[in-house]
Amino acid sequence: MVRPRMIGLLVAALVLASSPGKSQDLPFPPAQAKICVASAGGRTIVDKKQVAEYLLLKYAFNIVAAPEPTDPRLKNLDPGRRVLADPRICVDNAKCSKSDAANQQSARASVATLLAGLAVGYAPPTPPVSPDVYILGANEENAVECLQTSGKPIEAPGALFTAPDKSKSAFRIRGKIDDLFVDRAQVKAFEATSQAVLSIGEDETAKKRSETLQGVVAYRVDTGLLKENGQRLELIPYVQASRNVVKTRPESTAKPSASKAFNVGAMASAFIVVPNQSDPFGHVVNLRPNVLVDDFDDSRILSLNLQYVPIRNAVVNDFILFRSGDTELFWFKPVLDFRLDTGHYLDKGNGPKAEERRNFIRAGGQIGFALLSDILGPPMTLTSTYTRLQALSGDKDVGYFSTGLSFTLDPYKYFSVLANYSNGTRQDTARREQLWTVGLGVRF
Amino acid sequence: MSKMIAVASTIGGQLRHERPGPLDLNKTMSAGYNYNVDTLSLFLTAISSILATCTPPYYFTFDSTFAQSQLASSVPVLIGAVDAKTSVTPPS
Repeated sequence: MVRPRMIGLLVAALVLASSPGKSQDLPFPPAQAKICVASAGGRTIVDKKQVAEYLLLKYAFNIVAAPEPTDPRLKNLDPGRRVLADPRICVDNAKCSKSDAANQQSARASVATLLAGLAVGYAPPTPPVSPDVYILGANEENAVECLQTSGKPIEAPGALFTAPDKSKSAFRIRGKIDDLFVDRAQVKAFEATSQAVLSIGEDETAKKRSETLQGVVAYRVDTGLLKENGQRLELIPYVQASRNVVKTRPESTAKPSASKAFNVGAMASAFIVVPNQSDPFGHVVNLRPNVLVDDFDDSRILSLNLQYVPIRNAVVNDFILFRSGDTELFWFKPVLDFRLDTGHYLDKGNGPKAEERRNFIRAGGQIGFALLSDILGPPMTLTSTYTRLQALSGDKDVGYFSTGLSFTLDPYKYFSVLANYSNGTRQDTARREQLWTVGLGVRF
Repeated sequence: MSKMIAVASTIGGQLRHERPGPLDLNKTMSAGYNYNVDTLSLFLTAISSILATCTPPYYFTFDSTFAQSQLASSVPVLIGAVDAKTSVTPPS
């Protein structure tokens, strides 16, 4: 004979998890109308049965996996609350899948956000109680109050966000070598990285044609070292191509020019954490042996480049949010790093200045900012940096200004239309350039 | 205070410290709160340090794989994941 309780559990399984493991994209907390009820005391409070059922729609749990409770307090609970109230429901329970366990934990943590006062529009009980104690009691016991203003509920923000691309590919495409250590999953930081550019321009007035190809392709290898506290050490071999060609027609007054350079190397990137209570420091150290093949003058340079990037959350090399009331205006990221380049000419190449070229050591860094905003519609990124390296030996200082505006075209920020301007002496070739680029950008 | 409430309060407090303004529990740590794996690791390091000073102390340890896996988490999912890795006894 099938016991009534078993029938109840089966019905609940159909109601709460008709597709076990398939959670629904629902906001939390929801509109107050979905989980709040009027209490006998005249207050509006969270209904524990409704919030439990809502959370098990958001975080699906196969309730058939719930064993017969041994704790008498759990026996008379409705199935939704029974799942949330029992922290040990998945302990030594073969029927409980990994996603069941994770979803139950997320649902219980959602209740904890109400109890810890993290949810806008809800007042927690005083003193705070654990999710199990809260769920076990009647609605009035340790009640969470649904707040109102002028008779209307105060609703929490409820927008859902696109998750980052879950692609595990270790390939990376960027505009500059310096950005290779930024991972795709780091959405906003990824959005602020440089993009590989292909641009073809036809100037009918000047009777010239410009072609630009600039980008770096790399492959990330995780060494598996330094993993504690989120630290990492990875190797990223890369190939970079930079080609700017201006072709003129016979009637043009413009000068034809061609600049082609290739960089081949490997970046060792380490991230080190120094705990400091609520303001820990992060240190990114990138070491990069590199061979530059410059077809402009047939020179070859072997260099060793050291880059140090300090990170302090909400201070430097991290985003700071600027808002007006509840509206997010833009995210601003101060950019700062320090660099040391040593270069040795394998081949001084040709041209009138070939014999003047000397091996070099240069020290300096980069300052700048990245500004990201969605208020104009498509996500906009404005970046501006100035790189300055002083020659400690050798004769050429580097001073390079670069700024770019781009609008991304897809949710994962892979493609964008962009306009870039750069002016100064390049860090890799130590040659002057002034370059306008308008085109299609890609990063991956 | 229960372990999960301590974890929730600590994460909420640190988020308000680093990303001032009203909390949006639906924001993911990467797309919503704009953390990358490095800055999220610093955030989690702060959580670990603060939990260790609670009375009683709680012990939360993590690695880069955990930090990477939490970039797509909303605030409650992160709280649940941190709570699952937090113990009341020091790690051996």
